[in-house]
Amino acid sequence: MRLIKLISLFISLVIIVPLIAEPEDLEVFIDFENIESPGDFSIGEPTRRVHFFGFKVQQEEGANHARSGSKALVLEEGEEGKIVFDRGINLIQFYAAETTRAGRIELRDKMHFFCIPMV
Amino acid sequence: MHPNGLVEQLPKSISLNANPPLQRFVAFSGDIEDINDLNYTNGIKEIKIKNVMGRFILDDLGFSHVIGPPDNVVYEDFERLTDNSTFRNQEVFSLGQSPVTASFTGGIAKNVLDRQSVLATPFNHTYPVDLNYLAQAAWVIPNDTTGTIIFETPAAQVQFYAALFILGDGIIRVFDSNDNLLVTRTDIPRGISIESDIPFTFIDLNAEELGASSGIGRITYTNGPEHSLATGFDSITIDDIGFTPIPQPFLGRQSILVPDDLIVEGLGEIVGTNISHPNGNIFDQVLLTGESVKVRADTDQISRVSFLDLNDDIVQVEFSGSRLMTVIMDPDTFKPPALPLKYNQNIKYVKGRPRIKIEGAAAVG
Repeated sequence: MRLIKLISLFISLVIIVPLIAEPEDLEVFIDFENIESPGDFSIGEPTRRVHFFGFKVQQEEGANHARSGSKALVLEEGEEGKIVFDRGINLIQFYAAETTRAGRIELRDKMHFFCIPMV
Repeated sequence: MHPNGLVEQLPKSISLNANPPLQRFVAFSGDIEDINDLNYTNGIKEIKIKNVMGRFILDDLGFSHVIGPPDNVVYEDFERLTDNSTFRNQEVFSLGQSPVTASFTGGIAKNVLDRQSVLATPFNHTYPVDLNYLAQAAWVIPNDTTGTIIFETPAAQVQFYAALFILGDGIIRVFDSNDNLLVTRTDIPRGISIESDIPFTFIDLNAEELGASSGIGRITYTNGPEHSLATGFDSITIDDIGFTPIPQPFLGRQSILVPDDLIVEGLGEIVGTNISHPNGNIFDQVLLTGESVKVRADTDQISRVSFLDLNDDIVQVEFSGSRLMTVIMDPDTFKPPALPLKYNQNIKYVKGRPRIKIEGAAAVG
């Protein structure tokens, strides 16, 4: 019986750990705490960057504050934001909220480069 | 997992106390039948946030890259031939943007989907999962032919899928930037479709590992003499190719000073000089950043000015000769630099209806 319990516990751990993996466990993790940028900005090594357009990185206070630390990406009413990756991403995780429960997040798989026919 | 990569009805708070849900997306699990991923076989490239009515907050972003060809500076799956008439069935073309380009000759970028026999289907690795999108495209090399890929800037890494019908009848040769043969590959599978049961992996070429610190300069893929007429499809293919150049200064969109000013007056940014085109031409590239720019062309070279037209297509105006060319945007239609709608590039283009003025007689392309 104890053996069965141990096996069950082991299986549970094996299965559950990957499922509850946090964003921090991935190849790249950004908590925005060290970002000082009044406008668009990029993070990462050249050719392997992630670009942020339209956002502000703000100190968050109150009930909707940042998930970790005190800074987060913010959009105000009517604004749009875009995050573009230099290279294809296979797994992505984040926390997001909208104070009125509106907002829409779209993930896309666009091509990054275009072809130039030669003449 | 959210269907179709779309999230709506977000929580009101992401504070720890609110216990918000973790937004989690897998681009492609490796199984086309897996309904828990997005089937984005090239990976996720962009996240857009729209319809913000109050205040939107995003924090603690983590991600991991795709393993394989999409994890490169330039990546192409050849699928655009269906919606880009200038690329459809191209025999000579380049991928990327100078100085990081690869030029393809000897083969043809085309649809390999054979709806009559489905024989060619295994020759395509990935394609957009969309019922309205029927193409399965790849770079195809006919019988008794050699396809060649030349890297403008030698590549530190090249990754792609390759397939053939007759085992052993295709040879991939890899050369360094001095045209020394680095390696020959004949271990090419008979299928590369993600829907196929045929085992395969991608060809992974790393210049350092091949002993070529100066980078990979050229790759050839030869379709041998064996003909399998019974199949009706004797070509060999490459699909889903990605490459990364060797690191070098001034790579990318940094301005490069030229001793003899290319821009005579107006607003423009020199984004490349002395770029060698495979057809033998050498050109300088200027990005228009204001309402007009006047450029000259070096002796025996071409000057090229880039902007968006009213349809949001990128226009390249080319000029050579000893005179001066001015590109002037119609002030009523002029729009200041912005990211292009039709292209996923981090380059801002001005937009408008152009007028082109040549001072003196010269050639305009």
